[in-house]
Amino acid sequence: MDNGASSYRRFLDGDESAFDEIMNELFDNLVFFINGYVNDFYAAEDIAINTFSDLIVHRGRYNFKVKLKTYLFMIGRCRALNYIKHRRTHAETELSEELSVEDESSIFEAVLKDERRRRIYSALEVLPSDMRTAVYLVYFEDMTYDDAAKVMKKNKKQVDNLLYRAKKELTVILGKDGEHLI
Amino acid sequence: MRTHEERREEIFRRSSERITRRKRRRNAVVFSLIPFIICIMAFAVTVLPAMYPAKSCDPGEQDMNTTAASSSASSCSPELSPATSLEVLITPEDDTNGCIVYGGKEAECIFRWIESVFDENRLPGNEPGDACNGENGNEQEIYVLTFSFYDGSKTVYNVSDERIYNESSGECACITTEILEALEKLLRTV
Repeated sequence: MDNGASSYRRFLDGDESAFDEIMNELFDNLVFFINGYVNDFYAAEDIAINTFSDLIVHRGRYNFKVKLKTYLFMIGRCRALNYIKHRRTHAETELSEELSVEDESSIFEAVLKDERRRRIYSALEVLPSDMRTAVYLVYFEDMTYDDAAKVMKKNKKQVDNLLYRAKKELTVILGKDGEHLI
Repeated sequence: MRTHEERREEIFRRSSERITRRKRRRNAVVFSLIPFIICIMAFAVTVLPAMYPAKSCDPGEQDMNTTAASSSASSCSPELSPATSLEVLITPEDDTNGCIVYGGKEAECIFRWIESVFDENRLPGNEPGDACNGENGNEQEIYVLTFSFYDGSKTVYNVSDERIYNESSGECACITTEILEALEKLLRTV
């Protein structure tokens, strides 16, 4: 599977059902990834919707040189950072809609499919943001170091260093039981 | 949280909204530029010609040789002479004839120049209508200039090393090497 690039090509050729395939494959993961930045599932979903709408509005912008997943995560990250910046300068207006625990857990379960991943993810919460993102992209989204570097706008060596330090930290956090998890 | 269908609909709704907004912005930019472009065109048509008036081709104002050297198609006022085109037949020594055709503005410029040469260098005793009494028939012609006019008539000038001969009127003018060089330069520059 090419992480949606072929589906996107079919979508550009007029096959609208191909867009559903991209959504099925990538939407939950993108929401989960963006939620790591914004800590708000509704906002993350909103940002993910805008990110996907970029695929329709700017049809010629994706050049098929990177994976579609990497491209979407790059846009998602930029949009998430913009959202955080905007949230700092504008007071939030709370809506009456309460966050459903079921909603969050359904995405949580969709992305973190096994016990091993859940244990690592819970341990990630204490790590700095960059380390957490690097571990998430490489170990949870199965991205290469190059793709993760593109999403994080860092170079490959920096990602490598972040992962090395993250592993050391996680070994301390998870203890001896956790050593074999990573 | 939204269902899959709701998400899909929302994505397409937002996309079409953004596309419409982008189109409106683009149109707004284009339409705001139109008055600006019209202003520039109006400025170019009305003000610029007044700032840079066309130079006169009147031979009385300038020296003959300098006139020829500095003449160009843009510096002549086309309304002064009626020539519409000029055909130049070049007859070099190796007998391989070449022909160059000039358009209205350039033809008029050259015609004015030839006229001025005749005014100042007409051979004594040669008034319009008189036959040229020199030995121009024996001289090798370098150029044959054929001017066409609006009324369909043509005037042919034979240019040799020493003379210009108007075949139509029979007038003949003596030319110097400088004038010949100036003519050659004029034929190259226009």
